[in-house]
Amino acid sequence: MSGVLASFVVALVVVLAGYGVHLAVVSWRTALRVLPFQSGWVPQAHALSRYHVRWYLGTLVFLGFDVEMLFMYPWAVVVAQLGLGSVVEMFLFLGALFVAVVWAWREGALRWA
Amino acid sequence: MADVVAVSAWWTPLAAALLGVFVWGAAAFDGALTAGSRGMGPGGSLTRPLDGVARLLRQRRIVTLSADRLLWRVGGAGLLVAALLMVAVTPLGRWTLSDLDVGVVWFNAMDVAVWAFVWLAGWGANSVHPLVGGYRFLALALGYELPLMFALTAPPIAAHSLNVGAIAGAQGHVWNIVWMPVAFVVYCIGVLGFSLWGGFGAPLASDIAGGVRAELSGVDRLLLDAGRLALLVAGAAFAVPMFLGGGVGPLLPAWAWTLAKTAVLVAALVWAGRRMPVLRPDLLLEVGWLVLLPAALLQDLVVALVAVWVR
Amino acid sequence: MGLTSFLARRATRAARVLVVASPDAFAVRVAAERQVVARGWRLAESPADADVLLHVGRVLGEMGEVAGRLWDELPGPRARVAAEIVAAVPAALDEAAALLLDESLQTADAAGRTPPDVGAAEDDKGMRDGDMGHGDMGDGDMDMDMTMSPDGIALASGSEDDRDGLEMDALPVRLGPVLPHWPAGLVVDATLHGDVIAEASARWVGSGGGSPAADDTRLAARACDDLAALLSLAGRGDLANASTAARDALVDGRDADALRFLGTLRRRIVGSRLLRWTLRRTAVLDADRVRRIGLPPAAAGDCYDRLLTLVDRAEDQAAVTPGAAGPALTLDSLGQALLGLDLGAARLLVASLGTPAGEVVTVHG
Repeated sequence: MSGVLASFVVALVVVLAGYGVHLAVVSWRTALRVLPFQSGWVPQAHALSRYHVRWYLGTLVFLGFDVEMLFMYPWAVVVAQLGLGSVVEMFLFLGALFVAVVWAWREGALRWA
Repeated sequence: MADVVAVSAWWTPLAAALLGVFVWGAAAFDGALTAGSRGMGPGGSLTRPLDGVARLLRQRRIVTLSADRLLWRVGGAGLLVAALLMVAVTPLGRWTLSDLDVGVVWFNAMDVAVWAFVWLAGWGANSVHPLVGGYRFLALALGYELPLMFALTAPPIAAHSLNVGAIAGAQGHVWNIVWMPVAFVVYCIGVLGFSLWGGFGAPLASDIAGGVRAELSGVDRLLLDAGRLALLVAGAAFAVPMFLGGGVGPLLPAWAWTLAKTAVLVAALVWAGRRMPVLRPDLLLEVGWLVLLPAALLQDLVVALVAVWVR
Repeated sequence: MGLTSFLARRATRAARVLVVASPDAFAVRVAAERQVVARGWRLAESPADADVLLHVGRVLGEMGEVAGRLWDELPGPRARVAAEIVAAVPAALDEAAALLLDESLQTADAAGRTPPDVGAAEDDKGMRDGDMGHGDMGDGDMDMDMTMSPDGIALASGSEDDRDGLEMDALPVRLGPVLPHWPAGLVVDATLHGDVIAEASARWVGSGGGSPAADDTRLAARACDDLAALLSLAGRGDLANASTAARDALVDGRDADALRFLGTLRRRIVGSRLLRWTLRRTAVLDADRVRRIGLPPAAAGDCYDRLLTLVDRAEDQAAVTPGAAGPALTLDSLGQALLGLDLGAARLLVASLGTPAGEVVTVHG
């Protein structure tokens, strides 16, 4: 775990060093306030707004399957010891989930253009 | 099982430097390919990234009106941090910085953190083009992430372990790529995905004026660009213990083989990415769920059956 | 200081240029793009990405105001230069390089910069409140602004009629005249739901009333340029570069080379399955809709069909087949064609229609 912690610290140092070198060589140190780029016009409204996330049905399907990964990782470690039974059980479960995915696809949940 | 030893944390700066060298190399190779497609020679390619780095270090930073500065900068710098945290569990030959029992899960967690970073980098600028880019990345990630996760599971099933060193050591003479080719391909697609490279460049595409990058200048942009290449390199490096036999190879020491395999895979990914059109996120969702996901699941099934059989 | 000037010299070798092109200056724009590439520079995608702002042709009126605002968005070190005719391009870029290397000039420029003046917009439609008090450079104080218009810009408001019946905001966004791979001078006023275009109307700026294609460059070179724009937007920069090479050969009068390049390019385009997959079914216009909204018949189909049409057109015109002009395209029909598309598809559609050619363009407003 110390290696991971050290990597995090080193990564932060690298980022800070980048800013440090930048401050040392840049012609003006403070950031410049600018208009957001909109092809050269003044924006009529702030871009941060309630966004139309058209693929939200896909996110729901994703969440369902993603939780399954919680079982998948421990299973991967012990499957060889537990034998054929655990393979059958896991893939029955995955199969059931995948049937749901196919159903969601037929309902158009994965198409959002 | 003791194929890999954890070295002192003091080696971490060396790992970071090594990552930096690979990022530089990938940028140089990409630049040479660009020059080639413009009918110019590759001369000076090795030093050309210096021009771009000097330009961005010297450029003033900008802040858009009413930007969410904290989250914006966290997102921009986050990619580089995530990449180095991936490298932390990737063994170099027989040495590793962190011999985590759940190294594969850790890698997975880092690549999911990229979701947040890219989206924050797009959202924080309060500008329409980065905002659209950030949301595009989430849509792409929905398509590639689950297949990637299942591809990551195949080697652990064969090695009965989530420890990256144990997975590398369990391969012996037959590399995992030989009997898990589908998982390898899906994994590589995932690497292109979380490094926003090639066909997965829609969040940074020129149709939205550079997308997530559109309002980044100076060192802020440099960190995002470097972080993106660092993720590509980290993804390629992690494939070596997972699929390419780790440090196994004739004559050369294990660390040299690890670096050589990483370099080849990075070059292949950079090259392949340039040959891909930008994939439209709405098309990718279906492919990810109906082609890549079942393919990865079948690969896992085959690997599991073989693992039970051999036992 | 040694290091600073070393970095400045290296940085200037990688300069990025944001081009503000007048619609009737195709030949100058091509010359500028070629010079930029020949120097190892690159075209910028946004002002944040740019070191040089290059005026191409006569940048006047609204286009001039746009250029002024973009200039304010360049981070610096920055240089602003102009080339009205082809012959002026090399000197303009030389001047830009010299300006970028002038440390004292750049420092003085940076010191004198002021925050953006939102009130300067001539078209703010009364959407903003009167409070423009944001005169200082401090950080964070702006976030405390609890009015409906932080920093003088309104918040996006609710949309009544979203496509999917969800409650969300309608965001007014103006696309063009300065965007990568976008027809010079075209402006689309759009309302976005997320990234979907709910309303759109198109107009030209900066062409001085003349039609955008009214210069003496050959149509074949224009067709190659359109093709390069579409390929760039589709993410195949290498194929776009091949198309640009054909364009440059045509501009130089090397027609045989251009035809050879185009032949190779066609094979590479047709050979790319991924390109076909990603452009097929994108921005489909069926023949009925094309007729109803007044687009030329050749616009029917998807973006892949129109890509192949562009290749045909480039080859025909390079081979000097008479009568193969670009499609007639009115601004009204363009605006209608964009409705319901997401930004990515809309950009591909605009590029796949090609630059509206010659006399058939109607100029509104």
